[in-house]
Amino acid sequence: MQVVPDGGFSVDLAELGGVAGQIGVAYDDLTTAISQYGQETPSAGDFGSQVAGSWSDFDGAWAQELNVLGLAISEMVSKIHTVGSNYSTADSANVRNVDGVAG
Amino acid sequence: MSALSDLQGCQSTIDSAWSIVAAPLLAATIDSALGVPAPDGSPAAIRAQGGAYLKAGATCGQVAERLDDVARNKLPAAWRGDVAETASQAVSALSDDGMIARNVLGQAGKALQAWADNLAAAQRDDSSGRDILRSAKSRLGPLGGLLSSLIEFGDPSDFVIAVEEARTGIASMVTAAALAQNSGEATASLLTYLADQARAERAESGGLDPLDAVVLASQQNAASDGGGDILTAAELTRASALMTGMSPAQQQAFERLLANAKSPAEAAYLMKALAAGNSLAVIQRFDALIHPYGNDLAWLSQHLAPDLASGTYDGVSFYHWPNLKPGYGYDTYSQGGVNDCVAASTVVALASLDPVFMLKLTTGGRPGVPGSDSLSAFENRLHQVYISSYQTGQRADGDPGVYPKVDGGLGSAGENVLANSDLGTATGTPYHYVSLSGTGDNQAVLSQVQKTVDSGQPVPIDVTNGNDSHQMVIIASNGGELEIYNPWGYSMWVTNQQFVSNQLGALTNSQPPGMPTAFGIELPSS
Repeated sequence: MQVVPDGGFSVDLAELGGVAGQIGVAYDDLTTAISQYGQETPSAGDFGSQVAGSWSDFDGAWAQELNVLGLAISEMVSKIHTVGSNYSTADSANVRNVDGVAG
Repeated sequence: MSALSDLQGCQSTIDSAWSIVAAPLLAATIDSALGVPAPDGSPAAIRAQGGAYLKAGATCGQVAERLDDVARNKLPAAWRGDVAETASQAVSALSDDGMIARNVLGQAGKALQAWADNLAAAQRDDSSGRDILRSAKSRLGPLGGLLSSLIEFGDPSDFVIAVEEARTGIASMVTAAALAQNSGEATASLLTYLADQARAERAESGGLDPLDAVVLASQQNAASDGGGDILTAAELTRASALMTGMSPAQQQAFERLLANAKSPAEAAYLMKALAAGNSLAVIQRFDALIHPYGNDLAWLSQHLAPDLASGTYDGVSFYHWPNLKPGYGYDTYSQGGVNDCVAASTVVALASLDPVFMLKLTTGGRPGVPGSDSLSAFENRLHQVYISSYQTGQRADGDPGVYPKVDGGLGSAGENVLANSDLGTATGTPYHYVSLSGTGDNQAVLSQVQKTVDSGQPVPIDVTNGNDSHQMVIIASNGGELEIYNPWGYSMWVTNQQFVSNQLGALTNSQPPGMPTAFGIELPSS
């Protein structure tokens, strides 16, 4: 999505690292949820002929939904890390430039 | 025939056996009842799976809460600016998906545990009923009472006991089959509804990257009535598939539109426009019109999504006196005094599917021009489209003239033409007319109706009271109920049972006598 500059931003790199860590913990929790989701291995027939088809559709759809959510959270962690390192690089460059002027 | 109806047939025969002469028929009927399959399934396995869903759902709740804290507090504290705002929206969408997972898995877990309990009870009752029936059969002797009075009944009271046992046994089996059937249907219906709440996976399987898929799937209308999803499950699937089918240059151009959107909601409306079958060029022009309002979520919702729950525009009713019940006055979307219910219901269903069409109605394609989106301008455009669609339908019916010269409503030919030209185009699926002639037909189509509206495709429905007839549109389902939009300008929920048993009169009672009986629907071809 587009970001229209609003003329200013601020970043606390240490805090941003903490944010990535928190999202990482959420990812770990989701991995636990995915394991819990798949811990039983029933067959469709166990649910009775009336329910078997609906259960199969439900179970397959939600197994995939949880996987997609996991991938999305992981992508978010990676983006936050990238943002952090980009700002960090930009800060270093600014420091070098300032040093050069001063020298 | 279901196990329940087969057993009810046996019960009727057994209950009417009163003379020893009926002994052979009684024996044969007991054999028939014993031949009906018992309720199948493993309650233990179902209960265990329900427990797994409940555990996974609770953990998803923790995921959602942690992400919500990041989106609301931790991220804004660490990072400020427009990029940070977009990142917070994305984390918030992840949290929303986690919360949906918590709710869905919680509901599914509880439903499966209830199904396990009911199935266990049904199997227990069925088994004991069968034991009693076998006992009754054994009293009738090895020949099943064929030579009853001559040889097999040393004591005539054995026959009386056999009949009593047979009645008890079959009653127990019927009770069991009814419990299994009703509970099984309700469980299957709920699981079908909940399966369609897994929306991000549909978008992802169509080619979107996982984060975009979750963010787009979670976008909600910011309408005064609570909104609802901008993209239905079917729209996510269709838009993703259409993106995959684009040429590389077109795909790049469309992805650029998505990337340049000022908010995830703007991007979601672009996806919705694609799903409705609009070309890239049309979507580019559409985006040029809405982009200035891309981060104004209320504007987007008011101008791109009809509020069918309350039948209002921008939260304002037209010619709707205060405290009037729905239907007792002309609301914004009402067809008014013209017999164009088919056109009005189809046009409004199209407006809910296609934001490009809705923008034309709300602004005339000139957003920002003073007065272009006034209530009266919108209302005029809407009614012009109702009338022109009505006239198209009348021509398809072969009427001797068109409105205002002729105003007799539309027949099935006109109805089918409008369903296909509007809804068929916007959903990418041709519609066909299905005649309904009683509760059996209604029951037979119920699951397809639910599946269709669960995925976001509207289903036009014709109702009658024997004299008058009317068309409405089924627009949503929650597993146990259907939401029906009446082109008199409002929506109401009815239970599945009301649909099946033709008790839909409440939807049209504002102009008595109501029209309770469904006699036809338009269904997309699968």
